[in-house]
Amino acid sequence: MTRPLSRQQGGAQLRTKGRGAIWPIVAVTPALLLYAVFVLFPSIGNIYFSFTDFNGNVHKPIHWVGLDNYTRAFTWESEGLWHSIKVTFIFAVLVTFIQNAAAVIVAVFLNMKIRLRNFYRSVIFAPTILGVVVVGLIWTLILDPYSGPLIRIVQFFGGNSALLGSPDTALYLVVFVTIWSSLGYAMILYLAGLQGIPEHLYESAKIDGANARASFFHITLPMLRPSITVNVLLSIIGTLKTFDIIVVMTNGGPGTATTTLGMHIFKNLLTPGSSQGYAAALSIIHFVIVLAVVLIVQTYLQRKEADL
Amino acid sequence: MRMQSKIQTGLVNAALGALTLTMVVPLLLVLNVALKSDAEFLNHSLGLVESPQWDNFRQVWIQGEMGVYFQNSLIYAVLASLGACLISGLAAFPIARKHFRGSQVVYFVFLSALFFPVALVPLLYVMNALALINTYYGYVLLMIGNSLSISVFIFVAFVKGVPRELDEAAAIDGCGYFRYILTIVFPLMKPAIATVGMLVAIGTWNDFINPYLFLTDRNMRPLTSGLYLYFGQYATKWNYLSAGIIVVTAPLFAAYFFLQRYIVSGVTSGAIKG
Repeated sequence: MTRPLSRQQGGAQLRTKGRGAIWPIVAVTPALLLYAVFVLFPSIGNIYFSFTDFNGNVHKPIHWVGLDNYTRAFTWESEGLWHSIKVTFIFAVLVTFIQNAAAVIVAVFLNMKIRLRNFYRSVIFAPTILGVVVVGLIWTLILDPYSGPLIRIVQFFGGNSALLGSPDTALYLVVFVTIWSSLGYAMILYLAGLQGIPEHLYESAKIDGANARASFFHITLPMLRPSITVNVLLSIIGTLKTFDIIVVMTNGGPGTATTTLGMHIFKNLLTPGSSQGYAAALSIIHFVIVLAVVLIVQTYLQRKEADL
Repeated sequence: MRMQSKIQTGLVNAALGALTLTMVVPLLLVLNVALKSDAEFLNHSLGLVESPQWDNFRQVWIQGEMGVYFQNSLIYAVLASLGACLISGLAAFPIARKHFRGSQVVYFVFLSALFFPVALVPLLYVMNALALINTYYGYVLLMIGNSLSISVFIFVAFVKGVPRELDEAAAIDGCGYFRYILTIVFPLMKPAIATVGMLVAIGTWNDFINPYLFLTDRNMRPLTSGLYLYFGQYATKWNYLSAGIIVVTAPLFAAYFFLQRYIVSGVTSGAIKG
């Protein structure tokens, strides 16, 4: 790794060899230390804790319990696990599809020469800077089934619904709110991708008599493939892990209608008497699911990219 | 042809306008409610506010103890942001220049965080075992640690664009390693520092789960926890609650208004990493 330096020998260089060689390592040490304590150790330690009866009290001895936590998850508490996996997939698929489809269209529109372009872009991106508490509370107020503005509109048209209080609609409303708060993010990434498409492709298509729709399907979409891969993967990873916005909006309810796997883990983490070791085992299962889905989707999307 | 493109532009504007409204209207609704008196809210919850009650902000500030929380949030965001820039900036230089054996392995380790599972249980153990719960430095160190992979990534990419000739010139002048990084490289990295700084500051300001678990003492809570707990207690006081939402979001929108470029570039660099 020191080869690049020896190439410059003869020329002066910052002392990275001999007595001065210690300084580069000193410079990296604080970052490495913090990373090891707060990221590396917890990530790897999860595996260890999932085989123990750790209950959150660090002063009590931790016992090795073998596969007990996993047995618990897959046998007598499997119903909760499967249900939360189902909810997670519905949530992830809906958000990923709708958000990416909408973001591509919005980005294409914003890439046209229209007057209020920068204004639209800034406003559509704005909700992404808000945190989950603010987003969750804003929409909890709007969706309030007694005095919220939305229920007034629903009632005006003769309908009725408990909105977030109804197991039939709660999950879809959380899907909507999630898209509301992160659409701008996907839009910006697609815009960056669109700006990388060379203008002359469109010009020659125009000469060949292609209309706007044909250019979209035969130039824009194929050229956007790499952006689509990145965006879809980011959406999938993000949505499969989601639980914080759910904590704020529904706390997993009504019943377990919005209990995603992440939410399920979080509940178990905070339930007194339910061992934290069990929550760790659920996190490992969660991780394996996310990893498997990401690998499958990535292989699929890259194969499609290669087809072109 | 000309006519058709006019219709097209019109439709595009209509669609974008509708989406823009969807983004803005919820925020305006909250602002509208935040300015209503109890009576006005009960009688006309939807109508445009008639007599703005600016006092609502003072009320929620006092009743919700927002003063302490606001100060805490500010301390957390500023310290985490400065700390992340300093620590990851220092680490990025030797990594980008390959100044030590195994620097590329270290770089890869930093980037691998994206693939790691959510690990709240071991984190709970670490925070407890090191007695970091309910301390300023504990939470700030945690937030710096969490932000390292993305900030090291941004800084390394930036340092690679700083010409090596500068290193050599500094070496001839007998400039020390740390002095070189701090006095020559850091000033050159200003755009990257602004990007990382905003990214970490906003992430910390918005963080909900970590304070929920690790900052439980009422004197240590940030605004997000404060607002969440206030909602739990006074769920019916919509006007005060909305005023509270405005208090939490105002600094974010102010930052967005003035530093939009850096905020957007921070967001996009996260995606390139993925």
